[in-house]
Amino acid sequence: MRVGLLTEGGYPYAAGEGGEWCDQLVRGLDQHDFEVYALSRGARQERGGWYGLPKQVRRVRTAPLWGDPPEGDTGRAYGAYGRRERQRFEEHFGELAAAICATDAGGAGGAGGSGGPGGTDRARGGSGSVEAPGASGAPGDSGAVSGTAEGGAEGTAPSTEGQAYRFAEGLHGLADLAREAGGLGAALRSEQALRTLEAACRAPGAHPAAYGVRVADLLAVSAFLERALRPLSLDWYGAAGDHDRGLAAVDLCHATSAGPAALPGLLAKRFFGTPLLVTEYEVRLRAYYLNSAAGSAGLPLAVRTPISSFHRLLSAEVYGRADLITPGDARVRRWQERCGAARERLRTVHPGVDERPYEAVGEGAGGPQGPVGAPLDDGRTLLWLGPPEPHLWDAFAAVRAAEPAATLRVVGAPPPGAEPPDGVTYEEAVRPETYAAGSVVLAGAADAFPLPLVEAMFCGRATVAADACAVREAVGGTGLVVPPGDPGALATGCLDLLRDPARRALLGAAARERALELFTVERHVTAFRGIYLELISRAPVRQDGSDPAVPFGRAAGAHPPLSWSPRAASPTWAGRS
Amino acid sequence: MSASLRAGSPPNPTGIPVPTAPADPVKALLRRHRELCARAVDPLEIAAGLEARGAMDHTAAECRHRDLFSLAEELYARGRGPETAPGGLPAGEPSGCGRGCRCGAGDEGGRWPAARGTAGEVPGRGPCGARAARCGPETASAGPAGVGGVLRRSLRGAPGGGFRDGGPPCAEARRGGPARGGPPPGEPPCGEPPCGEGARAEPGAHRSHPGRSRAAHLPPPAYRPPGTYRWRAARWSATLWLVAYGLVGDRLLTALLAGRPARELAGPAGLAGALTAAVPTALALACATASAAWSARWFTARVRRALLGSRTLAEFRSRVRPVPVLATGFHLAALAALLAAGHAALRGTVPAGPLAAVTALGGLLFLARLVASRGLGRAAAVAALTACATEAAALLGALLAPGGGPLRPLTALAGAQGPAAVPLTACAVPALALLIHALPPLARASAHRSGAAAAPDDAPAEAHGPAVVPLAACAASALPAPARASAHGSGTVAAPVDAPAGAQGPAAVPLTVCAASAHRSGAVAAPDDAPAEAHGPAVVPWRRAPRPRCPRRPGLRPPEWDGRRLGRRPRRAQGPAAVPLAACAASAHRSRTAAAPDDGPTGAQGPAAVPLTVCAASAHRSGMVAAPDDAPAAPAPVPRPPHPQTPPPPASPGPVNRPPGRTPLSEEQAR
Repeated sequence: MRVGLLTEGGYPYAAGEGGEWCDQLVRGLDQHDFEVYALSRGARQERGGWYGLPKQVRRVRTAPLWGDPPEGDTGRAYGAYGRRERQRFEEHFGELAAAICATDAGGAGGAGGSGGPGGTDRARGGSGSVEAPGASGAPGDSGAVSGTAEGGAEGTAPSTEGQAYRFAEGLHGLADLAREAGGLGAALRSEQALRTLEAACRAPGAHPAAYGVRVADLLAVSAFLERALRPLSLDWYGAAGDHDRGLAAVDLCHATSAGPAALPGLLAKRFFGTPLLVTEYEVRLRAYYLNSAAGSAGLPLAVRTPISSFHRLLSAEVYGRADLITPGDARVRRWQERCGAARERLRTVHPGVDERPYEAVGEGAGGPQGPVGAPLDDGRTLLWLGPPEPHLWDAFAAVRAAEPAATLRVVGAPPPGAEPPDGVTYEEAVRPETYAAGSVVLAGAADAFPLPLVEAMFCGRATVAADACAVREAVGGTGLVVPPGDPGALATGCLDLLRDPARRALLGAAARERALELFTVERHVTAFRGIYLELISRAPVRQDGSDPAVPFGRAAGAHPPLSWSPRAASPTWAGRS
Repeated sequence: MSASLRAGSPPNPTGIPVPTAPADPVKALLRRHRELCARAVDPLEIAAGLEARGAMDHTAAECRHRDLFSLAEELYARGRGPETAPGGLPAGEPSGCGRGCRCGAGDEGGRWPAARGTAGEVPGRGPCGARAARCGPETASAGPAGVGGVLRRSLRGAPGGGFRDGGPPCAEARRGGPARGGPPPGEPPCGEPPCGEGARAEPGAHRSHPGRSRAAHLPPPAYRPPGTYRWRAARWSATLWLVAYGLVGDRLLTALLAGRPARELAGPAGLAGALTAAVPTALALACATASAAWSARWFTARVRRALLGSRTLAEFRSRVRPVPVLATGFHLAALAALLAAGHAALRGTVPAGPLAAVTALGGLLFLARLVASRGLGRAAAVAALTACATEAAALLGALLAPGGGPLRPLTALAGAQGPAAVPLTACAVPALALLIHALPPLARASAHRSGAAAAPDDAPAEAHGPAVVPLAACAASALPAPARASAHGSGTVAAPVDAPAGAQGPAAVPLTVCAASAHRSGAVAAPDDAPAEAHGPAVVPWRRAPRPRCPRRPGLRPPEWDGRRLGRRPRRAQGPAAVPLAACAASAHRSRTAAAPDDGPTGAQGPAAVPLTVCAASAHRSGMVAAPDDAPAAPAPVPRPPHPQTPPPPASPGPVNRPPGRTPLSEEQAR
C-alpha cells in the first residue's frame, strides 16, 4: 500500500513538532510505501534539516506555507485569468469569503445573546454534518433573534450548516479552478479578491467585527488566505496519465493535523476518491487559538475574526470529510467532537513511547527487595518532571517537615541566580537512570499528553501527578492524581507513597503493566496498521490504479469481468421459482 | 447547604439555606479571565485559553455547565460587557459608521466594533457618539482595561469624545496599554504561518502614530509584488544607456549631425570637453536622487495612510489616485530647479532644451522605478527601452545619413529644435505613457501590499531601487555617518567601518567616490534625518531576500540547498554602475581640482578604480591642474566584509544519530 503522509511543519523537518510519532510510524510500517508531502512553516525550519528517512519513504515533496508566493505560480501580475476564470473565481471565492466573514454561528452564544447551558447542544447539532446541502443563502440570524434559547437555537442551526456548506463549496470550487486553470495565488492577491472580500465583509450577514474592516485589513486577510490556500495550487495532484502522478498514485492519505496539512488530503479525496485519515495529537484549531493569543495579539479584530473563522471552518470541513479520525487522547477527542467530527469515526490511538530504554530499570524495580531494586528505591527521593511550579516548593517543604530525609531532584536547568532550597538538586536531562533514582515521580500540569509520566510508568515508578490534560487517562488507577496547584494534596500524596513501600511497589508494577499494554510503540504502530487496512478495504477499487508502464503490473485475474446487473448480482437458489 | 451555620455567622431567621458558593461563579471567572474574554473572537478561543490556564471539566461543573465549551460560550456571551446588553438589538445589523469614523475596529468591552445601533442614536453620527458617551464611566472601572481606557482617552486628546481623523482606533490604544500582556513575540511553538510572521508586538505601538502602530499588523515587509523583479536586467541596462546619453549624447549627436565626429570627439581634448559639458547635468542628477528618495518616501507614506485610513476600496482609490502624479511632479520640479541652479552656477546660462531633456529623463527613471516596485516591471522596462531605442535610432540616423535616410524625422527634429529635442521626446513621451498606463494599477490596493507592510525606513529604498544607482551620488546623504566621514576625509574605503560599508556592499565604493566628488564640488547638502534612505538603491538586490525558487521536484533537493543559494547571492548585486560613475566623478573632480587639491578622492578603489584611473589620466593629459595625490596610484583591494544578511551556513541536517548523507533522496531511490 502506498500511503501519503501529509504534514505541516512536522515530520521530515527535524525542527518541528509531531515528528516523533511519524518517524516511529514510518519505521514501524516497513511493508508499506510512504510518500511524505510536507508543508513547511518557516525558513528556520527548512534550514534545520530533516529526519533520517528510512527506505520505505519513497519520496518527499515539500512546499512552503510562508514567505512570498512562488514566482512561477503567477502569470501576469494583473488579469492572469480570462473572463470565465475570473467569473468562476469570483463566485467561489465569494462563497468562501462570505462563509468566513459571516456571523459566527458556531459560537451561538455570540449571535443570539443567549449563551447558556443550552448552547452546546445547539452548536453540536448544527455543526455535525457538513455534507448536507443546507441553505446556501445568507445566514439567517442577522436580523432580530428572540432572546430565548430556543429562538436562538432555531435561528442559528441552519446558519451554521449554511456557513459550513458555503465554505466547502468555495473551497472545492477554488480547488477545481486551481487544478484546471492554475494561477490561484495571483488571483488571491489581485484586486478582484480584495473587492470580493470587501463585499463579503459588508454583506448583510457579516460579522460585526468584520464589518469594521479597512483596506489594510483586507490586504492582511487576503495575504493570509493566499498562504493558507497555497496547497490548492500545488502540483501534487497529477492526473492518471501524467508522468508524475503525485497524490493520484497514493492509496491512502494520512494527515497529521486537521489544518492546512489536511487540505491536500481533502483534494485527493475529492479528485481521486482517496480515503483520508486524520491523526491529531494536538488539535490544530486549539493550537491556533493559543498561538494567536501569543503571537497575533497585535492583529486588529477585523483581521482576527475571518482568520479564526477560516481555521474553524477548515477544521470542521476536514473532520466532516475524513474517513477516520484518530485523536491522541480524550481531550483532543472532545475538541474534535465539538468541531464536528462524527463520533463513530473517531478512534483514539494513544501515542507510543519506545519502551526499550526503560526495560532494565523497569524490570529491576519489579523485584520488591531484590539485589538490583533495593539500592535504586531508597524510599526518600522525589523526582519532579517538567519545569518547577511555585507550589512545588511549598509541597516539598511540607514533605521535608514530615520526612527530613526526603530529597527532591528536578529535571531541568536551575534558575539562574537562585540558590536551590535544601535537599533539591537539578538534573540536566531525563535518562532511564534518572527515573531509577526516584522513588516517587511527580509531574506538574502539562499541556500535552504526559509522555514523561508514561516513561516513569515504564520504569515502574509510582507517580503523583497533577490533574491536567490527559493525566488521568495515562495513569489510570496506577498512580495518584491530585488537583493542580494544590501543595497540600501533593505533599500528602508524596508522604503516603514514601511511607508505604509496599504500596509504592504495587503501584509501580501496575503502572508498568499498564504502560506496556497501552503505550508502546508496537501498539501504536499496530493500531495504525489495522486502521490502514480497514480504510483501504472500505475504499473503492480504482481500475486505473496500475501503472501501464510497469509490465505485469496488473494481474490478469485481479479484475474479472463482472456484470453488475441486478439479476447477476443477486444469486438465486436452483429450483426456487 | 447547611454550612452557613458556622461560628460567627449570624443566625438565619428565615430558615432559607444560604448557599455557600457565590451566586454567580461565572462572574468571578469572567473577572479573572477578563482579558481573554475581551479579545476572543470565538467561544472556542476562550475554551482553549481556559484549558491552557488549567481549567478543567470540574471548573465547568462548578459553574453548572456540562463541559468547558458551554462555559466558554457563556463567558463569550457575557464578556461583551454592558455595551451591547442594554441596547436591545441582539445580533448585529450593524449600523454604518460614517466615513472617517475610526470606531470600527474594536472597542473596550470586547469584540463588537460598536457598529451596533442602539436605540435613540443620532443617525448622522453613527454609534460613535453613543459609544464615546458610554466610554466615560465604563473605562473608569478597575482593572487593566480601565487603564487602557484612560490611555486611550489621553491619546484621543479629549476625554470621552473627539475621534480624530486618522487617530488610532480604540483597539490599538488598549493594546498598547497595560492590558496587553501577551508573551514576547517570536516564533510561536506551533507557528501560525501567516499571523506568526506578520504579527510583531512592537514596543512602541502605543504611540499615537497611526501608521506606525498599524503597520505592525500587516504582512511582513519582505513581500514584493510579483512583477517587481521582472525585466530587471532590461531596466538596468536601459537606465545606464539613458543616463549615459543624457550626459554626453547631445554633444555626440551634434557632432554626428555636423559630420565631423572625429574632430569633435577624438583625442583627449574632445573627450575632456564632452565630460566638462556633462558636469552640471551629472551633478544635478546626482543631487536629484535625494529628491527622488523624498518623493518616493512621500508616496509610500501617503499610500500607507490611505491604506490605514480608508474603509472601502473605492475610498482608497480616490485618495491614492493623484498621489503618483504629485510625487512625480515634486521630483520633476526639484530636478529642474537643481539643473537650473547647476547650469547657472557653473556655466552662467540656463539652456532650456537640455534642462527639459534631463528633467524628462529624471522623470522617466523615477517613474520606472516607482512603477516597477509596485509590480509593473514590464511596463517600466518597456518605457525605458523605448526611450533607449529612440535615442539610439537618432544617433544611428545621424551617423549613417545625416541628411536623410529612413530615420530622417529624428535627425530633422534634432536639426530643427536642437539636439536636446531628441532625448526630450524620447523620454517625455514614454514617461507620460507610463504614467497614464500605471495610474489605474497604482490606485489599486493590491499593488501596495509592500507599501503597507514596510516600515517607514524601508519604504524609500524599495521605491527607488537600482534605477537611481547610476544617478548615484546618492551623495553624502547616502552614507551613514561613519562612511560619510570617511568619504569626506581621506576617503579611504579600503577598510570600511564594519557595519555601514558592509551593509552597502560593493556599490558603496562608487557611491563613496561620487560622494567625495560631490562634496568637493560643494553642491551637496547632507540631510541628517534621512540616513537610511539613501543606501537603498544599492542594497535593494539584497533586501529582497527571496525564497529561492523551488525546483520542479523540491523533495529531491538536499536541505542545504538554500544555504548554497543564499551564499551565492550577493555577487549578483555588483551593479555595472562603476563606469559612468567614474566618469562623473572624474569630471566633477577635474572641474574643481584647483579648489581643493588636498582632499582628493583617494577612495577610488574597488571596481571604480580602473576607469577612474583612465579618466584621471586623461584629465591629467588634458593639462588640467591636478594635485599629485589626486589619482590613486595603485587601486587597493577592497576587503568586502561579509554581508550581514548572508545567512550562516546551514546547520547539520537531521538528528545526530542518523547519517546526514542519507537525508536527500537520490533520484533512483525516488523512483
